Amino acid sequence: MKLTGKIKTTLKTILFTAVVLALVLVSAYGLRQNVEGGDNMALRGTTPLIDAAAPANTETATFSLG
Amino acid sequence: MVRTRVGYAGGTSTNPTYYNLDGHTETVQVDYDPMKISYNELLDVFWDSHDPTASAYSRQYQSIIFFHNEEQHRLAVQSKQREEAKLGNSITTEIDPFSNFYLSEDYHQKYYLRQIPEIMADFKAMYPDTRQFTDSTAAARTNGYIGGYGTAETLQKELASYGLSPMGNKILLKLAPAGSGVCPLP
Repeated sequence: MKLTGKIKTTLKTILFTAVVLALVLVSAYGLRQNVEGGDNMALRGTTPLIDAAAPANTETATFSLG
Repeated sequence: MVRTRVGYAGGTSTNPTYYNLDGHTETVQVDYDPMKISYNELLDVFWDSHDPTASAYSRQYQSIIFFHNEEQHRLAVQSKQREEAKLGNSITTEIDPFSNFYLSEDYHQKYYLRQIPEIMADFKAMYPDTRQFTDSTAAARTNGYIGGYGTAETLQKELASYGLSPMGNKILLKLAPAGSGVCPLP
């Protein structure tokens, strides 16, 4: 009976630690995604300068390199 | 070089796909500024980029110059004659009128760039529309640098104009060649 109680306590501790660890990992991943996403979000609706300044008069060439 | 795109051309079927080309040939199309590079210079890059004496496995991989006008036709014929004389060998490259061009599937456009998710995310934010992404000069040049062309020096000069995030800039700088490769298309 005493042994069963110890096993139960150990299992509960392991389970608790696993849940806390999982929450920490998920939060860290989410935070990283938000930071990266935020970085990209700032680019929405913007046009690279090189595209905005692309010459209007271009010519086209088409090739097949085999 | 202003824009690049890959596609299928020269066949007769409509809407070819990679798995059903039906007479079309895989092609690369370049929009260029004639004030900065000439068609003859592009032809030189074309000859240097593959073995024009090799026989093609199939129509899909036939070496072809698709001319868009009579001037390009004339220059292509002259250039082929010069190249044959230089190589001392017969060239299998065809010179055909440009016809029936279809864009390849999205996953073929800017292929090298698509392999770098952080930079791709930047372009998706700027260009949610795939066609705009395909036609972007910034995307074409980024794709070239990731593919191993250009130099770190030229990239440094124009990186700010690509509109990437700080993380995108950092990754691209890390991926750019260390100065050995020279971009053949200004």
